[in-house]
Amino acid sequence: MAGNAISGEPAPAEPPAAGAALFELRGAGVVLGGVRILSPIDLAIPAGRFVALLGRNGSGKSTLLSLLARQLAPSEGALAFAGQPIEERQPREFARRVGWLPQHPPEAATMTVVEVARMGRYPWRGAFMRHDVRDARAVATALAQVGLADMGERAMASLSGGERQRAWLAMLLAQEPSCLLLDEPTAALDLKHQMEVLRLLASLRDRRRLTIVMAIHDVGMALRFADHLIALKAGRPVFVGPPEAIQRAGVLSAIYDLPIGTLQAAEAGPPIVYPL
Amino acid sequence: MIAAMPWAPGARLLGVGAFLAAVGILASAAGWDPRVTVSVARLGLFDPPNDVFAAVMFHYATLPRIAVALLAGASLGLAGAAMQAVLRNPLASPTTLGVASGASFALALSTLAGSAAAFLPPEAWSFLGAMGAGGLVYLIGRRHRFDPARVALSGMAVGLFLSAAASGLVLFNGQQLAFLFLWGSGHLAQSDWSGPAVLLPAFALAAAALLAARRVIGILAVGDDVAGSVGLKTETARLLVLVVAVALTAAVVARVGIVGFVGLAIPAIVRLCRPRSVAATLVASAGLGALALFAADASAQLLSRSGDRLVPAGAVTALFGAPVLFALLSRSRLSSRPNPPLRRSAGSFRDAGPALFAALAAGLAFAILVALFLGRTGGGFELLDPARDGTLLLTRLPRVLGALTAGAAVALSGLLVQKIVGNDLASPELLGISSGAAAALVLAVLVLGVISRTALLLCGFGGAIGATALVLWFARRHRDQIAAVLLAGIALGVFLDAIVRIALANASLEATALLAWLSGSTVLVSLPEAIGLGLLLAAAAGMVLLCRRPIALLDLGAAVPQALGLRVRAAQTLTLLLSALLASASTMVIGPLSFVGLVAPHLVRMAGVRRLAPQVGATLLAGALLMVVADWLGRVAVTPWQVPGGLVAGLFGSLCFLILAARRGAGGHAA
Repeated sequence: MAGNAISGEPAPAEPPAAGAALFELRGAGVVLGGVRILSPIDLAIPAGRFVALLGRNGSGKSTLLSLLARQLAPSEGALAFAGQPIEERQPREFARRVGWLPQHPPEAATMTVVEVARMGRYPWRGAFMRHDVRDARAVATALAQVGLADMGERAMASLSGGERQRAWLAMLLAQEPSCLLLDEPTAALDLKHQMEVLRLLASLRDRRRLTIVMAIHDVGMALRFADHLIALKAGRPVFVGPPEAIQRAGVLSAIYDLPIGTLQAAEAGPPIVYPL
Repeated sequence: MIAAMPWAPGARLLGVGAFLAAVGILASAAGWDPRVTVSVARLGLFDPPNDVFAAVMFHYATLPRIAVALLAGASLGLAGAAMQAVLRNPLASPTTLGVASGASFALALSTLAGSAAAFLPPEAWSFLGAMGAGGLVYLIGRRHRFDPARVALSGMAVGLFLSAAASGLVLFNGQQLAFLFLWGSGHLAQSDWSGPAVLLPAFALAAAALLAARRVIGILAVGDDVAGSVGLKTETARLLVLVVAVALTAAVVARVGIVGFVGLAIPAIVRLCRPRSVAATLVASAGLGALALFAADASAQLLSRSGDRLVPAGAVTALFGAPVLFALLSRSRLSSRPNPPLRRSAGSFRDAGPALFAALAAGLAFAILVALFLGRTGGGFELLDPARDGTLLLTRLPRVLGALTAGAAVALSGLLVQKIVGNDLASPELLGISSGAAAALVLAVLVLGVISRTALLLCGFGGAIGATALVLWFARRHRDQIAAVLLAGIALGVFLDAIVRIALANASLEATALLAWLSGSTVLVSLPEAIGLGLLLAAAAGMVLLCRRPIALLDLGAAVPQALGLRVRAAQTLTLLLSALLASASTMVIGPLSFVGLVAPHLVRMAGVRRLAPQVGATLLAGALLMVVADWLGRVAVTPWQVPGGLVAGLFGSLCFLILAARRGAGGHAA
């Protein structure tokens, strides 16, 4: 709700209640250049949840995210967002509700951090509307959330890989969407910043009821922070459910084609995942 | 696709060869002089009797022409195949490495020097020029470890610079250098057997040397590390092979001028047929090259005869070869992803302030005053007295205004194109957009005769849009490979240039006027036109400033702006339409090759202007300043002659491009 208070008009429609399907794929599949990337699948992404996409390289995680972000149109089947066919939405209206970060964002070498974050206001202000104090506040909040508040005037080209990644995340947060689609957002980050970013995402889910869909390779982190897991294998989902269920013997091993063991370290904490 | 071909490599090559031979024979047969019957041909084969005119013609024109076509084609195919092998570069060829332009330029210079240069035969001058241009490209390429795209880009830059310089020579010395016009496009007509007498030994020597070195070439083609580890002196070996190829090219250029694309396309076609050995590649390239140029020349003669116009064979090869290069580029990946950007020590930007704008504006004002009031007569520089020479001032005013607005327009167009393609080495001149406008304009004049300037502008706009659409389609497919996009644009420019050459070679009367105009003569501009162009420019600049947010987003590619809700296709298309309109309007005044569209946005960026809105303002000022200065220089440099301002700008602009391509080259991502 903080998001609406900051950004003012045009307020987004109330997101679906937590647990209801935000995205719904009905037989949606992707064929690119004659190669099947994603099988026709039925899949629901629940609203207000922290969803982790698991799977080996090339299993279709990025393709699924591109599909949800409307970067790709499904080759067959249908895809609904908040109960409405996804292709019927206006581009900027969709961008006010769904933010997407690609795996390899552009270089933007000649931009500063704050200019990158300010691009996140485009869905709200478009080409011509003036930016006002609410936009400035949204940008400042986003930069503070990713820990770049005092680096706003730095050149993107002068940043380390992790700082650059967080600058793009700031753009996404300044967008104030109700759903974040993230393609390996922690891949370039050190352990401390991984934890900070994932904690931030979890708190966004808790405080603002954001839906987060994130592709991630670190199963341990996924088990620790996500509350809903979707595992893909060769373009089709092989596991959909809560983190507790994926720890059953053999499930992870089947996803990664590798014997994997889990070890309960503390009483209530997440398990340690290790290849055998 | 190729892998699924059922035939053996030999059969595929024979198939291509048979096709080319059939085209050549059919075209020759269709254009055959009926007076040359079998008995006349038998008479003319060796020692023709002087009283049978058809037999004499057959002996001294037809036969040597066929021989020259076969030999020149074989030489170019061979030279191209050798260059591509030892540089491991599918884009290397006599024309793309600048070698042919160097030879042709040196020939033009030696012709101008007349008796002073007579102590060496033209072949030697041609060789020196070819070695000079080729050596420059080699040195640049070596600094970049012979990265294929960088080498080709540097070669193209050398070629563009030399052709700008050559058109300057032609403009001043039209009488003496008229041949360069025909020659520039590869004219194969012969009047005796001297051509084959030079080309046959040259080809035979080079072929023997290259075939003898086939094992060395094969190892170089695998890669330097392997070559070094088996004990080959890679640098020496590569240089020796290249010198042979360059010498062969120089001999061809000295006899028939520049024949484009045979040396590039034929080895590429041969490679697609997958011959098994280096020797087979060399032999097949020579054979197919011979047949290809024979077919092209026969078609050119047929076209010349049927249309009563002169079509040089080189134009025909460019007509077919440029699309081959285009297709080649769209199939092959030249390089992987560009290198990640270097971390810079300076953490933040220091943007240029109002001081830069003040300096630019003051410079422009000063340049306008100089251009209006300072002239040069036989006696020297003369300051014009406005009270006395009011009429002279009135004749200069539209010219200065035209240069000013056209320079600013093409500079803005360049800035927009760079935003769309996402790279600052792009420009309307390099991407073929201006050439598209020029080709449409020339064709409109030749087909429709004299039409109004408004109609001309519309025609040019159409041509620019056509070229733009092609380039945009290509750029979308090759976003991370700016070198491929640039080369495709240059290929498109060469293709359109071939059309213009064919048209110009036949428009005897209009030709000189059209040439002056294509080189960017501002003399023809009238005051209402300059004002109209200014209004168009003001409207366009206003639109760009108004839409600066979406245009700045375009710099980031397609994915992220789309995720932010921008209709990327629509924004790209509208921006491109605007830049095509600006480019075609300015092409009408300063011609297609001023390079102001490349240089002005670059200077502005180097001066530290980073954000789009100030960039637009500074680019407009810089473009106007460059063009006014170039136009004035052209006016006073060599009185009583007038060098078109577009040509002066093009000469310096292509030099700048050469330096840029050499410094940062294909990637263009480093800064």
